[in-house]
Amino acid sequence: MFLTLAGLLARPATAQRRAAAATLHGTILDAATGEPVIGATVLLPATQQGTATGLDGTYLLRVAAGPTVVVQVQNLGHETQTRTLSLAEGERQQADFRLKAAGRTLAEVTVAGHLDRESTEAARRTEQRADNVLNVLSARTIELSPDVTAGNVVQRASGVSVVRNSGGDGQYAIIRGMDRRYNYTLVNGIKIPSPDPNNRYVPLDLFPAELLQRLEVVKALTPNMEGDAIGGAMNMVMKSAPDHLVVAATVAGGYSDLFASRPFASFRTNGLARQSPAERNPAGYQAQAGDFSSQVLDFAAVKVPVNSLFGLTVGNRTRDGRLGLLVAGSLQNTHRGSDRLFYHPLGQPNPGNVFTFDEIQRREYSLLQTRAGLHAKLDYALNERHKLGLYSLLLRLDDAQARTIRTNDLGTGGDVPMRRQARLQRQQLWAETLQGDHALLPRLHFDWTASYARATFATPDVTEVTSKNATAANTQQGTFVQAATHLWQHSYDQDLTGAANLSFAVTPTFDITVGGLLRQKNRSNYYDYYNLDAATSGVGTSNQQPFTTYGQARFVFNLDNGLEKSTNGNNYAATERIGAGYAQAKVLFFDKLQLLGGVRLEATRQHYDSQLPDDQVGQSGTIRYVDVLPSLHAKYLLSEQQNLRLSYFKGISRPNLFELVPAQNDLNNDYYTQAGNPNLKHTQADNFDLRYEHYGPAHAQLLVGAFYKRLRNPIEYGFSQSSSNLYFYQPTNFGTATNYGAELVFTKYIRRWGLTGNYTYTHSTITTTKRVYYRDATGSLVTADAGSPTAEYPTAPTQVRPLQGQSDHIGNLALLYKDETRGLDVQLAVVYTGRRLVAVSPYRDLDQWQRATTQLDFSAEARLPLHLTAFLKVTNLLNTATVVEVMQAPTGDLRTAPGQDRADRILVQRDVYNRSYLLGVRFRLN
Amino acid sequence: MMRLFRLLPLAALTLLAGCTDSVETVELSAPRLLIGKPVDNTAPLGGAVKGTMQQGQSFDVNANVIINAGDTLVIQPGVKINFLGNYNFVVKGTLLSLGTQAQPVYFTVKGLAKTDQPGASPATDPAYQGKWGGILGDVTCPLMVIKWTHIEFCGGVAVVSPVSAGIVNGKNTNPIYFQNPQGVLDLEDSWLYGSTNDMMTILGGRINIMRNTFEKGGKTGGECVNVKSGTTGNIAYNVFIGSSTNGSKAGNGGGKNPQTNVYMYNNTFVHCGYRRTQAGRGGSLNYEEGARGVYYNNLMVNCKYGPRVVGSGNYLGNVLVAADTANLRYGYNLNYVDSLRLANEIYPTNFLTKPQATDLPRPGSFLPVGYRPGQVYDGTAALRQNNPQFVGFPLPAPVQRLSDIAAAGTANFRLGSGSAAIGKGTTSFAPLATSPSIPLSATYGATAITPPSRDLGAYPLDNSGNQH
Repeated sequence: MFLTLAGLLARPATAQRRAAAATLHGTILDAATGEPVIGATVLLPATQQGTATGLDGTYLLRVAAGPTVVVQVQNLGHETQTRTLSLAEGERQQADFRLKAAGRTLAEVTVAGHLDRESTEAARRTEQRADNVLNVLSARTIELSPDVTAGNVVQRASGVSVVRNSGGDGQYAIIRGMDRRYNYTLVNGIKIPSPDPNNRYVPLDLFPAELLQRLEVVKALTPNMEGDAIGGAMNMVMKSAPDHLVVAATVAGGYSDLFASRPFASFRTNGLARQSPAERNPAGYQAQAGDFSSQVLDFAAVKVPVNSLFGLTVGNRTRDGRLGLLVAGSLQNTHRGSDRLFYHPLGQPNPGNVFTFDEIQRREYSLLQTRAGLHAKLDYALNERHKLGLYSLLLRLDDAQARTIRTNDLGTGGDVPMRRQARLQRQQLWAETLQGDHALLPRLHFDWTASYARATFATPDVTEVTSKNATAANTQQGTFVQAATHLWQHSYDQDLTGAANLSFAVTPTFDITVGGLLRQKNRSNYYDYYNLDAATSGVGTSNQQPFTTYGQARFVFNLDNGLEKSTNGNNYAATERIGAGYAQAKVLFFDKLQLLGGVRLEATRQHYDSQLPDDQVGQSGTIRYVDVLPSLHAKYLLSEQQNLRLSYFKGISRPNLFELVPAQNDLNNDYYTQAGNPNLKHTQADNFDLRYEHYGPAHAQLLVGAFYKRLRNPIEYGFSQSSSNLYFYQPTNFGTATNYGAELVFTKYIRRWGLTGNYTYTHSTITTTKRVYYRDATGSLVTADAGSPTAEYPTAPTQVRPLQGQSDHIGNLALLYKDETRGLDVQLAVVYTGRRLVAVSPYRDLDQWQRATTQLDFSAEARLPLHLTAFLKVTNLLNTATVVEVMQAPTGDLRTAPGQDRADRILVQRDVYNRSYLLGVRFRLN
Repeated sequence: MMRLFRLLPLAALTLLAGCTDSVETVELSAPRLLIGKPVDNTAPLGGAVKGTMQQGQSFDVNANVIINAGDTLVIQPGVKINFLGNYNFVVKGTLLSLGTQAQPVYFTVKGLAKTDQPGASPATDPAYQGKWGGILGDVTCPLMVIKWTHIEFCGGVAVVSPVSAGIVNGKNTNPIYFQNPQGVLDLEDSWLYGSTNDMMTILGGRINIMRNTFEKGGKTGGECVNVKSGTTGNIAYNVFIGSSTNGSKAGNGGGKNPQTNVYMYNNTFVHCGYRRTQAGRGGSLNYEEGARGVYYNNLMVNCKYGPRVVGSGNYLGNVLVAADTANLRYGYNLNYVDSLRLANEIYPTNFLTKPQATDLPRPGSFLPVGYRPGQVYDGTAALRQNNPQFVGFPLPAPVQRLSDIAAAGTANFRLGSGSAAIGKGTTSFAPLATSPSIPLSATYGATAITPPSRDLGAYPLDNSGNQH
């Protein structure tokens, strides 16, 4: 049937050219839901002449007139209907069909029929048919977009903004103003662990965009989804096996014009020791200076660093359709970089909480990112009722960062310190998922998932050397070697997950699903470092080691004893066990109102082992809680094109395991002590959503919505007293926060032009404790905070602010030009991210804000002969910088200091990335 | 000797009284202070201790020693505590180390000798190798009294910090660590010898640091006494010799109350600042980052930098880590230098130390007309002026490198006749009275909060100062 249908779809133009005496038109609807059926085949068996329904379920077919015209409507998942009509010559007759579901109803997010699952149409369809509030970006949209990683793709979704990595690429998503911690990431619906050593959230720049079939941003959770999202869940649906042979390949090359102004600094990563001296030697080994080399810091200058991108996808299905396989690989070699101006804030402000800093740093980053992705999706149907799927994913991102940091150390006035750092960060994700799908009885359906996933992180031998250019009066002048640091960190986060669902269709309009999930998470983190000083003939300013090259710099152990730092607070091990069960029901009333509701129970058990001494509270800890998470999603079909949705769900957010470990985990901070907090509570939130959806003809779409979230125990950093005279800056729960907003999404095509866009307004507030450093009435300088009440502040000072990462305004606008006949697609996309809080200061009024940004990207593709398409992607056309500021007016000479261009705010950090270009060719067979 | 001087007025009073009536002179022996049970010294010490370490006994330490919160340990005169390895003396409760001039207490390393030959490399000097940790006060320590006590060879790495805050796992500790703004830290007539970083780190406390000798503080950085927010009190009559950076430093960083307010007076600083490679970090005494107080009557000899007051400097004009200059008073300090490089930094370049007319050498004798604090100047005229004429430490210094001498050895810093330091000081101020005040007590507080003297440095001619 697939082949027939494919043939039909491929020949619509031929069908229309045929002379016909009458016209048949109408709409094909699902009998149960009343929804339009897209891609249904309308066929005249006598002539094998036919067409397929469009995005709105309508069709138009020219037929030969006659007294008995037999029309057949077929669609996968529906029973075929046949009707005999009488058509007069020249008549234009309407024939609508309501198709009954064949067997069970396909799951809501599974797009039925032959509709290309990677298409934009399928994405819109998914949004329309979904039981809950979600937005979808299709593979086609992604392919057309200027983005090559999932981290950049996700910012095109409504209500999503991104936190960028040091190369300027999106890395983490903030959904509707809810920071990273309040969202989770799924691959094919299965949650994946994070390679990040401290956090749960998954860096999205790990995923090559090419492997995506679509990216869904789910904003309202149903009971069958894991409950620990408040902002939303990102589901990366990876490409799945096609119905026929598909071969696609991509080759592209690119360049970033940042490296027109300065060379790209590169170093060899294969010389870095994978293990620290303590790991590769017997226990108790005392490292020697000879165990380390700093030669890697003699960076090589690459004048014209060329980016490359390769992709290959091969998929096929056996003739009987029972076995399908898709294998896709992607390899990206990207040179990125940034130039940063950074006013390094001092740990304590000047009296009156006036911003002050101790260094102005100029940082040059050169990043070589090698992103490799391999995935394979296999599905096998034992028979019509039993299907198995195996999914394998292997991703690796090597990020080799060469950093040069020049500092004017304003505290000394004369020494100009310079730091060089070579840092290779390897993140890897390996996931194996086995899934089964069983139609036990005609109305009883069972599916299960068994999944193993392991995320690893390693930074082998992060090498840093400081040197200085001494210019101070009355001291030895010149360039001298100062110190070296070598750091090893590696961690893993491993999930074993089992899940099963059983659904029963009581009637065609009423079904019940129950299910459960068990997960065992193991996490371990290793951290070891060595501090060496420059070898000198003596000590003091008269005996310094002149700098020649990094390879020739000599170091000795001075204060560091050369032993393993296994007790550093960043060494910890933790486990998490989640047990969950749910029951949900979906019912359709009067073909108009669909209700989906139910309740989910999630039991959590967390355990950590820390580096605290055993005579202190909480060396190890176990934390247990059970959440009851109800949800209700109503969808009212105003018409065939219009939905009205109202939903409620309760979601949670679990603290990062690292945040629970009470060890003090900041080094070299004289101003306050940062530590984990085992008494940290998980966040619980009530979420309400209202959305109106209109799906017009020709892919037009209009979504208007509003949401309200009320968070109990949001997790934010603040001061809290641990015991008498002891207080830490630590993750703490701060009462209740609210977050509300409105969303607008639209798509409109007029002939060859298309305009799509979205806009989200969010507003959140939270009140946290802060420090105030000030001169009191008696003329003394005092600090008021949670640990120390003062006359002026008998209770801790507080500050009301938005949630970290939340922008009041986020917008996307894309202008598309599509010429089907010439095979030309052009897109100009702009992303606006409003001002947002990026760093919360322990001190009141010293929070750091990222200035609103407007980024403009361009992409184009043109069809060539021989199944080829050429494409061009240009990102950051406006050379948009990331600027971080403190909302205080600069005073004194700071007003004329480098980069200070505003009279009302102080620039803290400015990153410039420049433009990058990618030109490539894509080959696609079928 | 000191007791004799203190008795003199009393005797005069008695004489006066004797004219009218006959009064008994009663001399009763003080009860021997014995708290709890004696500490057993038959086996090496480790773990929780309380009670009394009895006079003259020796104790070997082979694990961290902890005085639990609420407990008290008394160390009687002549006690010797020998560390057999890198362990700490953790004070969550009260520590009373009560040595005497005749019978000092020792915290030291068994069988380790000092190597103080001039010019020896600090890289191999055991003074800087951190053979054991230190006396570490926790946030709960209400009282730490250390009198006539030698504390030597400290600053080892704390593998796991034994105190609840402040010390980072895997980093060096300090010979004395104190972190309770409500608590009292009294260090009198004691000797601190050798450390890897700061000799005393004080993150809050009412302090009385009087008449001590600090030698070889910090290997390549650190001060002898480093005071942060929450600290009030006096640092006086101390000798600081061969400190890596400053002898004493006060700052108000760290967010504790009250504001750091420290009086530094009548201290002698010799050869400080030479093991710190960063320029401008100071080499005698230092006020920064919101600290207030006074410094008068100090005597500096061949230190890398004169007193450093961090203020609204002239480096890009930024206020960086300024001291509370509105509440900082100073003057009557003598700075003797043998080399031009040092003469050029009597008032350190780029900092806010304001020349005072009472300073020696007199600012007018060597600073250019119109001098502004922090500007570069030619100090030739200040070279070898105002020789303090130490009794047992020749000046100009006969050594090639000033950094070669970092320990007192047999030196005698008492003032010889004709010393420029005699009578040049001020007694117009009183020692800082902390709130609440530090009790005066032979056991539970300060023996003496010695008032300022008109003779500069730690050894006034009336012998009321340093007794070493």
